[in-house]
Amino acid sequence: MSELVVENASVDYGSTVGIADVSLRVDSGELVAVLGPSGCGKTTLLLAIAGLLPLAEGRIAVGDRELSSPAATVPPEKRGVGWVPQEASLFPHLSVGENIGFALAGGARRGGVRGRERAARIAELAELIGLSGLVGRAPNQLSGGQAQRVALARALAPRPDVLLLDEPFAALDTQLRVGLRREVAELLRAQGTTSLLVTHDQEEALTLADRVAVIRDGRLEQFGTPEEVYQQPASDWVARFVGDVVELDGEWRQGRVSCALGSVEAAAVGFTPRDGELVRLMLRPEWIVPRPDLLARAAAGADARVSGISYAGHDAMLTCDLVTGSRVRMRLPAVELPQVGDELRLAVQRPGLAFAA
Amino acid sequence: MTTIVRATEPTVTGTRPPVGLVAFAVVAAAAAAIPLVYLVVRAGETGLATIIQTLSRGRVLEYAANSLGLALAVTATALVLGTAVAVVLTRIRVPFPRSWLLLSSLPLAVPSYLAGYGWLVSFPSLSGFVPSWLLLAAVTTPYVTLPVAAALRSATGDLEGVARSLGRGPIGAFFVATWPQVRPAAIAGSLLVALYALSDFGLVAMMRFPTLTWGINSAYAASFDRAQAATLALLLVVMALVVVAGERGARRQLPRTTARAVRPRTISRGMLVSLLPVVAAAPVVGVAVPLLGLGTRLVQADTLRAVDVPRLLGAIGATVGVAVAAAVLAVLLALPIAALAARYRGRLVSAIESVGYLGHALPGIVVGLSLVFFALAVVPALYQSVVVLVFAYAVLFMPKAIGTMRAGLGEVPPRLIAVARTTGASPLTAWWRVTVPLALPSLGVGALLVAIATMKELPATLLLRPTGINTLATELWNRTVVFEFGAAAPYAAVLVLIAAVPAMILSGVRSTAKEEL
Amino acid sequence: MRARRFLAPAALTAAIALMAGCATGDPSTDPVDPTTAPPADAGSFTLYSGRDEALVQPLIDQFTAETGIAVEVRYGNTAELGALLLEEGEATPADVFLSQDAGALGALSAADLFAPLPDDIAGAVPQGFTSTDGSWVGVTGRARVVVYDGERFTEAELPNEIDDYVDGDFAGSLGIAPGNASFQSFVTAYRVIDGEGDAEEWLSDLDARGYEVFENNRAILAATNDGVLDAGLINHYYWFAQAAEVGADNMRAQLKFLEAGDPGSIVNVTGAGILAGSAENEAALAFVEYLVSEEGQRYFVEQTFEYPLVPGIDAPEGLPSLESLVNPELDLSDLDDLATTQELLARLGFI
Repeated sequence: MSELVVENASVDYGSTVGIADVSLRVDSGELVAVLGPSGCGKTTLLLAIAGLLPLAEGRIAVGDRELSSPAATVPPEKRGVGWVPQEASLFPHLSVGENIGFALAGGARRGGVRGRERAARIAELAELIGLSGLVGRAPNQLSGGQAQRVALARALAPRPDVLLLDEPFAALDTQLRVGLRREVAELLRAQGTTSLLVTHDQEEALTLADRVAVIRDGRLEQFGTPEEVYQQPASDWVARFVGDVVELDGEWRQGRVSCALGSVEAAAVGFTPRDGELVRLMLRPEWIVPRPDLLARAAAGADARVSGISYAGHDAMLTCDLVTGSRVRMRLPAVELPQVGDELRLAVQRPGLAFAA
Repeated sequence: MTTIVRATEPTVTGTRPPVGLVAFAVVAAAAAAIPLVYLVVRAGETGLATIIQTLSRGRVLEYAANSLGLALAVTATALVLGTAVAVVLTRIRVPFPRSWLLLSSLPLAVPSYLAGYGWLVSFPSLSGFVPSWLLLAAVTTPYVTLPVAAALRSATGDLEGVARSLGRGPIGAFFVATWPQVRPAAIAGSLLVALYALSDFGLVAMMRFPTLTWGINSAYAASFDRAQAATLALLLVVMALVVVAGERGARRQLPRTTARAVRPRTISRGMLVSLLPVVAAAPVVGVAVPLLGLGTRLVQADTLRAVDVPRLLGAIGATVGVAVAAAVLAVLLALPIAALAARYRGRLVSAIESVGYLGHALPGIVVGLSLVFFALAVVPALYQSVVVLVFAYAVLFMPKAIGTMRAGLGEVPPRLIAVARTTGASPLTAWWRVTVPLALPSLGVGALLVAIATMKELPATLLLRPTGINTLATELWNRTVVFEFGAAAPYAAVLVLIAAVPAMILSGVRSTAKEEL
Repeated sequence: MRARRFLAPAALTAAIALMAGCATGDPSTDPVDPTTAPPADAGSFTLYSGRDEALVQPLIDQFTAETGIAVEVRYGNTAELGALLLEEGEATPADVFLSQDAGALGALSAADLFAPLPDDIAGAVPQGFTSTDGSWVGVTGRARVVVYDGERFTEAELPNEIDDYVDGDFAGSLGIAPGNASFQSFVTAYRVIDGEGDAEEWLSDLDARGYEVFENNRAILAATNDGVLDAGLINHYYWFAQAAEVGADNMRAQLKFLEAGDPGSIVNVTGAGILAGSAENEAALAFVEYLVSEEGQRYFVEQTFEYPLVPGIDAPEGLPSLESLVNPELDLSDLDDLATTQELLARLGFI
């Protein structure tokens, strides 16, 4: 089976560390996103899995084949790991069809039975990516999105055990990006290809992946489903990185935090606070809701006035000034939005996250 | 959209070159080192005391100073003029730009001794440093013009725009933004110019400017003292190594950017006309005046006799034949060295590359005699055969190919190779199916440069050619030596015409590796 | 990729051209007159000729027509061929070396590269114009002369002794070719005739008064003929060759023969030798014999205006007789000592 195992992997760049002690496991057919800011080492991890960088420590294996260890690195061409780099990197001197068929048997290029098989496979892949009519084109005649798809087909042609995608959609414009990544994810799932997708775009990771590995400064911060990573971040850094947060300081008291939004139920993450201890409460903007029915009750919730609205079409981010002076943001579906200046009573509709201050 | 290739992305194989590649490169370098071995053997025959005595003669120091001074002056001139011409022809809207580029490449086709001779015909009192300097500069400027023009075509203009927006004037913006991108090409071309100036004998002999090559020739031809000649030649080798090391230091490759081509600017007609002398200088000095001079002699001479057509055809056949064979062999020998130098660093790589350049620094008579020595010692059956002659050309002119091929191979983005390997291609397969096709234009350029140089070569040809075979150059020389201009002129004309063909092809070859997608 | 397009046609062209080149063959082996059938199977040999093709080839063709012996000729510059022969050593493919001057012959003889010539050949040329040990034989003689600008000077105005050209009697520009073997032979002759001290003094005087450097005799002649140079030291026959091309009346340059016995009037020789490995080669021997035969000698007289060295053959017209130039004190074999002359010239900065 083609599951990918990375165990305690470390890569050195001379004096700087690329990745340190990263462990993760991608099940056969699963799509895992490696998420992290620029320069955090996610591409390094990818290159190590591809066999383009040696491991200083740890091991990498696919199925029951050992691919990398400090002692030996199986060369890239023998790993069965495909790679779709950033910016397509198509071979400029070959046509689209020849790019796709690059991996397919050499002798088959001439003709005969092997040749027909090869041509058939190229046609199959071209159709898979929706570019059947462009097989004879030169790479410089393709748009960015088309080139990216050809790069994908090229990597899929030799039926790799694992497919690595290095920020493949980063160079595309937004409209195209969203549509293409959805297509690609579906394609990969349909093919059952074990895939590792590197990205710095949280939305991309969360929408596409079965599981997300969050990397920071070469270390794995959290590895879990998108829901886990988003709703139950393992650290305040992950919380901030994976989505918007509203941060408030408050005092911990028996499972609740007293803060500007009132007494909010919260779960302590990564530490055990004592009563009375100052903690940092983090909420997702969509966890804050206006509760008209609370307007009457003084105990729960907080009063706020809407001071700004950032309209995004499908939802809006409202900036609200609390009576206490703090400012919070909340996200609402863009149906019957409050206006700027409206007074609202805000409440938190699910437990927040408390981190050490 | 322009992006800068990330410098942090590693090359696939790391920093150690594959053993097979190093082995091939060492073999090629060994071939290039044959003259060096010969020189050491011959110089060593007399003992260290004699060597030191030879080297401390005042005349020798004068030769050395003259060689060095000439090389410096010619290189500086070719660098400045060549870059200027390249800039004018690629960045300014001129009428018939391709024709001008073609014209500016023509001096390559004129052997230096022919240029000298052509000028002496009209101005017999020319002699000394200044004519040697100017004429050598004229015939070598294309070595800078062509690669710089190619580099300019593929250099991004965005940076210049940015510089302008930050307040630099056009010239300042050029130096800040564009010059660093074309500098490697310019420096590599200058290296060839410097080595050519060090090793030239024909022109300086005519201009009676005593350089080391003059001294070497005197030693062989007047005193039959091969040891002394070898000692002087070793001095020349030392100078050449210094020049080669200097070029390597000055050559700093920038990461390749995907380029947005620059549209040529339109300037006023008045300014265009004022730029004409710049562009026309080398072709006029190096081609037009000499050919005119030869033409007038042809008209004057009483010995204008009917051209022996079969003989002329035979010479043409021999010239073209050996030129093609030499080009192929030189490219094959230069390939491992260029491939090594393109991707790997280190002392061994530097040493191999430097040795590869040696043949170009030595006058043809030295290389010729060294191969007589080598052939008789190692493959006597092949002595005075075309094989040894072609091999001599390859040793002599391999350096012309190394530079451009190294640049072309180096420009292939490492990422393409990495991707190829992840699809299952072995390193060799990836190299053959991706690097070589993309670098092929630079291989072609290298081959053409070698071909042109071979067609013009004289001293080594005289020594090594099979008895009875003549090239256009040797036929020409045979006749000018007896001052039979009438008989010489057709050979001179045909030689320049034939050598002009590859020169013109060169002017049209676009830069290497296409834009990466 | 554009280069690729040229590879195929270029290779094809090259192949065709090479074949054409080979097919036109070696002109030196084509017989001159096909009607007189030469004796078949007469042998062949390889000649390295330091004398140029236009001059020598017709003689060779004549020889081949008469004897049927095939000759493969390698033409080149005497000095370079000498260097080549030295480098080749015993492995040389050459059988006969025809040299432009005695210096190269002396150097090769000193390196024991020549086979001794049979007495009848070696003895055909009188002592004083040939080798002393029979290793090579003189073929023609070339006198050292002063060439001068005929429009600026008359013959009478020019000194008769070489000393007077450097110690004040002659004020015009003087051209020499110090790297040229014939000049160096002259300096060697001066050393032999007048002694080392006087030779050095002459050179110093020359250096003091100034001189123009040229690469070879022809360049001196050309410069004089163009009016760029007032006078120069060359060999006589170059003038005659040039006069044949453009007409003697059109020659601005004129010749002045110096006094007999003066170092400036020595007679240099061209000569030939058989290489050591070819002593048994009958064809080679036949050729050298031909060179000193009446036919061969007459050829040179008529074609090159050089002096014949074999007694009994008339010298070219317009030349003072050979006897009038001979210096009885000079042994040509002493001109082989080029090395010391080289040192002297080098020390004084001439080369």
